[in-house]
Amino acid sequence: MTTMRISSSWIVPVAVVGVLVVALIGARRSYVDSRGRPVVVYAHPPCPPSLMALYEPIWDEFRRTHPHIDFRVLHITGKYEDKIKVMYVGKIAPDIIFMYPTALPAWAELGTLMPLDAFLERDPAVSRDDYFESMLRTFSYKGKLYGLPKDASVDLLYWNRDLFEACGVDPPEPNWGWAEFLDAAKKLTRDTDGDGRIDQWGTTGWSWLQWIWQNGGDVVSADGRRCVLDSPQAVEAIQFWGDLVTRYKVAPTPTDMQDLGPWRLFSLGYVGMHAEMYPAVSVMRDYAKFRWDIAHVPRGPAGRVSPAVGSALAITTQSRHPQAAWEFIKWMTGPEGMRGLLSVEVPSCVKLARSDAFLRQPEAPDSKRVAVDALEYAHPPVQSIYYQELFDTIASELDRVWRGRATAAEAVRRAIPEVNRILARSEGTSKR
Amino acid sequence: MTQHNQSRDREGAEQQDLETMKRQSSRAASRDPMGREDRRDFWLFISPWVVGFLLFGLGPIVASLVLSFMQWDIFRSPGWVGSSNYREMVFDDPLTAKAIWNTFFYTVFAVPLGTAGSLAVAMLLNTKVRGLAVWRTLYYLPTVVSGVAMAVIWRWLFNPQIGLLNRMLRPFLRLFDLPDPAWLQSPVLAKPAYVIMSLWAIGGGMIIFLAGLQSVPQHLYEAAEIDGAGPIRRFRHVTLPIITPVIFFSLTMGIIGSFQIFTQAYVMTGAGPENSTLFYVLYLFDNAFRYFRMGYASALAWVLFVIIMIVTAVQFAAGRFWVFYEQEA
Repeated sequence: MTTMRISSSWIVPVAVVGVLVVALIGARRSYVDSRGRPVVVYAHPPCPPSLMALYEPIWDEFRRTHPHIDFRVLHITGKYEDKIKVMYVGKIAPDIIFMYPTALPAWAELGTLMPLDAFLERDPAVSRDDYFESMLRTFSYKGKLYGLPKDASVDLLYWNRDLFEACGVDPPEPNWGWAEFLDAAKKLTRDTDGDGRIDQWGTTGWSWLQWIWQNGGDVVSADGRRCVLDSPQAVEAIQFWGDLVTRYKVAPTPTDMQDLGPWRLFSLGYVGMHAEMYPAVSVMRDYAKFRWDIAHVPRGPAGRVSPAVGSALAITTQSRHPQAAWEFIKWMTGPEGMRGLLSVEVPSCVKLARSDAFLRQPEAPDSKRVAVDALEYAHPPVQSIYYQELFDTIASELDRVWRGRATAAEAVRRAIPEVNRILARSEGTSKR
Repeated sequence: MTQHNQSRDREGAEQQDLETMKRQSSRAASRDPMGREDRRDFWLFISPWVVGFLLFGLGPIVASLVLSFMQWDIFRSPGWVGSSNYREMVFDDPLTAKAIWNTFFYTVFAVPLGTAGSLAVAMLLNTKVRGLAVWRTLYYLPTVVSGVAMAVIWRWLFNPQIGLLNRMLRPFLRLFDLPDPAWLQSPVLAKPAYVIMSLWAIGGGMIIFLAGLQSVPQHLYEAAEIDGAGPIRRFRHVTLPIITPVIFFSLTMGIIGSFQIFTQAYVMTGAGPENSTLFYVLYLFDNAFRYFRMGYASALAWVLFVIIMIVTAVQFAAGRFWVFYEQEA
């Protein structure tokens, strides 16, 4: 019986190792296609099919009108930012990425995004005035613009019209202050089935940040070095926010939330008011079984302010065809691109946002004008490379206020040293 | 008889070949016992694994050790910071202590309960009940479910209003006028909720214990019975001593595993109410992938490694006193 010598089948192990090695170093992307056109890759974040159905024709339209660019869409599933980070380190980053206001400072600081001011100035077809100034400010960092605003939104007050009418409460007014807001919330809170527990609330607490800004306070000082949550305005605002749950009892407690989150609770009709961004209207249209509308958030003692929550398109520094990438983001954020998304988003393009094409759309909400006017008081987010860590720290302390386990002053006192420690660290980073 | 002889003959022939080969290579054997071609074949065959291990195992481990002395935000090049990550972890960061406490709490309850549960179930399913295979399968099934799917299911089970757990408990709670436990929303009950969830997977330990129980010699039970030992004494004096190696294995692996609890916390609660479910590996993950602090996260990882090593070493040392290996007797 003769057996084949093992050594003559060395092909197999070598082939396996070869495949491994090639797979590792072979990860690359194409930059010029077979026809010599520049390849522009846009990484699109995870998106429900209904929204994809709106985007696909828009992208096809771009390809049709820009035949000299090979425009490709990379669909990212899972965690968008993590995926882009990995691609970046692997030197295969896409040309264009999606940016949210809170993520922008970190990405810009770490040198992954191209400043767009030069493109904006050089291009005769587009200028700064075409976009809402508050949105441009939101996506600027240290004086330079890094993201071209795509959809513009602030946290808007969604209110349940059926619930308001059932409880005899007048609709929210533009000049509502905190007192009127609280008053309405109290009237909307009731125990509907008589079991001794409240099952219908006036409002959810939504974000504590907005209340702080409305009262004239802030999270970090202007130079970004110190936490200023201990200012009387900030503490007062945080206490008001916590009191909505603990003292006035017009907002659901964590247990009441049934693990659904404030937004779901509102869309199921258990809460009278909630603040959310404009694109949530698509969810409301699908799921809400009541009449609803949007309104301005209540005006605080220091004025009306709402966090800017839109999105922007940015060009990565690894892009080899920044001019072609600019062609896309200019087109996409302008009237031609955003025209197809008017049903679910407010365009950052001023002309389009104020046009009948957006305002006169038949579906809910009726008060679309509010979404556009609200952009005047959009407040850019706290800009810090350590944004996530800062807010995790602050939120975990303020969490206790909301649960009634600490007063705002106590929570702030505990949070401040931690926040200052993180801020001191980021100072060290930028010096390097 | 004939067959037996034939096989012995064949063995004899093979034996002769072996002798020949040995004599022929005896000179070479002293310097090169395996033979040059065989050695090359060995390396060729094992090379895919070696390459994989170096690239994806040892390489990253060493890189992580180096990174733990650096500051790296992923996008820019890392910068050397010496031991400042370790110093920050120990002296400046209150969340490290919180993370260690959370993980420790979880381990202290989940592992003993889990081991005891696995043993109990294994003993029950070591008897001749009807549908034994079905029962064993049912108990083992949860360990096959992916961590994420398990977390999603349990999140609904723990729902304070409509979750199955509270619906079952409600009649008893009402008797004493107690409120519904808020489980994952409560800073006090969130970790116990995780412990309860970990008990769902006792089937994994059950399999190991079944193997251990079945290796207990029957004659010892019979001898004990003859001497008048009831079931409890039989368990204490026959079963328990003999399966101490299995218990040791289960406890040690259980501790190593629970120190690294991550998936469920990541999916269900994140850091949880007042950071009560901020487990160590979750905190590590946050630092690495959300806070742009890869260097610090690497330092956290190595500290965890050292902690687990020490705990395991202590377990082995203590094991000399209570683990009985039959072979040694």
